[in-house]
Amino acid sequence: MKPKRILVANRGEIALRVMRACREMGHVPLAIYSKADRSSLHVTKSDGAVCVGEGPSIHSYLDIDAVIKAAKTLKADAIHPGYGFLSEKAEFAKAVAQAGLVFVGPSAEAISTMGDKVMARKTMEKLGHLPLVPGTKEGLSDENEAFKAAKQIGFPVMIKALAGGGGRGMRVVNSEDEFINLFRRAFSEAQKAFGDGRVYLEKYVTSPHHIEVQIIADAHGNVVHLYERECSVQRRHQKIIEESPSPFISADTRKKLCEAAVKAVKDIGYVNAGTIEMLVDENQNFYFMEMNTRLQVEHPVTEWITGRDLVKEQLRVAFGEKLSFRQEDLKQNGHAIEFRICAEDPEKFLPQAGKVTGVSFPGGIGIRVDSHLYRGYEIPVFYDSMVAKLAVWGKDRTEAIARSRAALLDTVMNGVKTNIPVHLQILNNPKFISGNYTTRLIGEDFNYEPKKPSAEDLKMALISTAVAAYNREYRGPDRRQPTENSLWKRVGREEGLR
Amino acid sequence: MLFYINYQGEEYKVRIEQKDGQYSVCFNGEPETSVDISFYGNDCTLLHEKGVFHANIVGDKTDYTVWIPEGNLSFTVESEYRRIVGLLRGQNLNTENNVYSKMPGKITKITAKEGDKIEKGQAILVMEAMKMENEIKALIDGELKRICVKEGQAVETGTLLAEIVPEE
Repeated sequence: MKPKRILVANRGEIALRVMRACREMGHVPLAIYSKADRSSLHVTKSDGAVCVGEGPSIHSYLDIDAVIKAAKTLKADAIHPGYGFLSEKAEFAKAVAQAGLVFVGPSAEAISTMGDKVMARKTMEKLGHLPLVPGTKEGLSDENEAFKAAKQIGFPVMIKALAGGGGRGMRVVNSEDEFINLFRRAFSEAQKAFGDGRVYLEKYVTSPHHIEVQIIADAHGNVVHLYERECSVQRRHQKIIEESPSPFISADTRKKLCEAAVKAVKDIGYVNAGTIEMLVDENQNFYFMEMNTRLQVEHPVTEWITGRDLVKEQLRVAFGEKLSFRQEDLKQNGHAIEFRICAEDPEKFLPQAGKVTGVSFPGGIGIRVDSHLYRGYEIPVFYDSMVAKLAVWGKDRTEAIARSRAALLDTVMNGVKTNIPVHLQILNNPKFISGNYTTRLIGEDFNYEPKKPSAEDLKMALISTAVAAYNREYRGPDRRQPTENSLWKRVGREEGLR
Repeated sequence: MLFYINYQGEEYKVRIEQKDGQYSVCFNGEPETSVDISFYGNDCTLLHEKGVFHANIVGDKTDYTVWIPEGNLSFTVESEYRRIVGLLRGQNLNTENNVYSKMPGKITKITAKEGDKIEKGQAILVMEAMKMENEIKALIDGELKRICVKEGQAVETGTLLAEIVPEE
């Protein structure tokens, strides 16, 4: 393939991750940024960047016209949307195509068919490869109508935003008397978050596992799956740990799930990477939930297990090439777990912003870190709280868990609170270790308990602080260590070479 | 120098001295020990008999945050000197602009007038303490608003000697 100029219409770790694949393939990575992101790594590490507006994403990363204009300015050939922001907006895919650029993702038609949850359910029902959780087929905005539908489905029911994602506009209703109240809250939440309050209802599956199948398809009719990911560790309906293979499903279920996903995707005529999300109940019955028409946050676990670079394949496919591998080339090798490291209060899961005063990541065999953090980086208030992904591989799940524990202990992030302590405690949870955990792990089988520092650590912390205060009192606050690269040291080293 | 450190309502006394480039520590009245501690920016590593303690220490005036793997510890740190000054003045010393006596003594001479433009480092008065004459100097550029002592007056640690209004 001839080198192309590729604009990554995103920020943070995913922008860096896509840019790495571009460089590896010889393409030129380009960036957009908001005013709040001027000193972000995705700008620094690009080969060209354009500002698309103010900090709030609605005025920058979500501004379709500004992004297209930036692509023109930078003479881009293609746009990779990453995840979030405009990645699942059909009108963006359309605008990119109209501007004569290649969209690294599915067609606008595919996004509007599968990205709209009600439409996706209808399509899936018609195709008949994957069963659906019983639920409403239309978006609802009338509460009485919704209540009638809920009674028909039978409680408990789940209210979900039609336009939604990320847990917003989502409510579980256990009994009839709570329904109207929770419906109103879900509706107004969806209205605020997506500008569309409509919701749909679904039967609430008890003991559910969130399991998804990664697929990728080219324009030549080749569709392959890259096996499943288990994403049942969630808080506020958002995933925080994902693993592959799923420790819960049987080989038989796996085969059925993956084959059904491939058939469905083939029938839709979908091209590029996508994910079929499913609910699996305690008896290994599975139901189609939704399709994500983009690259997922958790794609690194799949890359570990299959040894394939999904972003590189996305780029190949977007430029009309064939997939570089066939189904029979793939097998699940070992076990991978990904941890989403978020700048948030571990007790209340509240996002934090602020300056990163210290950061250091783990390394070594089986360790992958995707992050845009550096020492001194200010985490802006406008965007997602996820600041790093740690993806760990082991020859089996036991090794992956042990390695994960070591890697998390080896991860230093100072200046803002993170959920690293939560991850460490989940790794010691018997239910998680057993592998048979559901989306209700957090809250039911696991609750974070803040750990007090040991008496010894407290003493050391007090002494270190006193020394820091002493130095400041005597040397002034701004006195730094002598620089590493002093002239005398250099002369000394050069002398040593003679 | 003695530091009072408050953590969750409890006060710890930590005395730090520097001898031959080594820090010696007296923690809450325990016997004095020397510690091997190194700083790079906010990062600090302390080697002790039970292992290695590593933390990231961020200080803002009297508030210190110590980041350790379990999360962060919030300390309020006050040196003995500041505490005495605070006690004597009945309030917290949060401005560095004015000039205070750092030890008991006698004012022997006043070398500047009220209303003078003062440069940082300029002597304002001379104070005799421990049989030595010391020039007491301004810490900032500004205008000498008030001289609070007279020649011949005896002063205690923390006495306000002169008020200086910083230059705009």
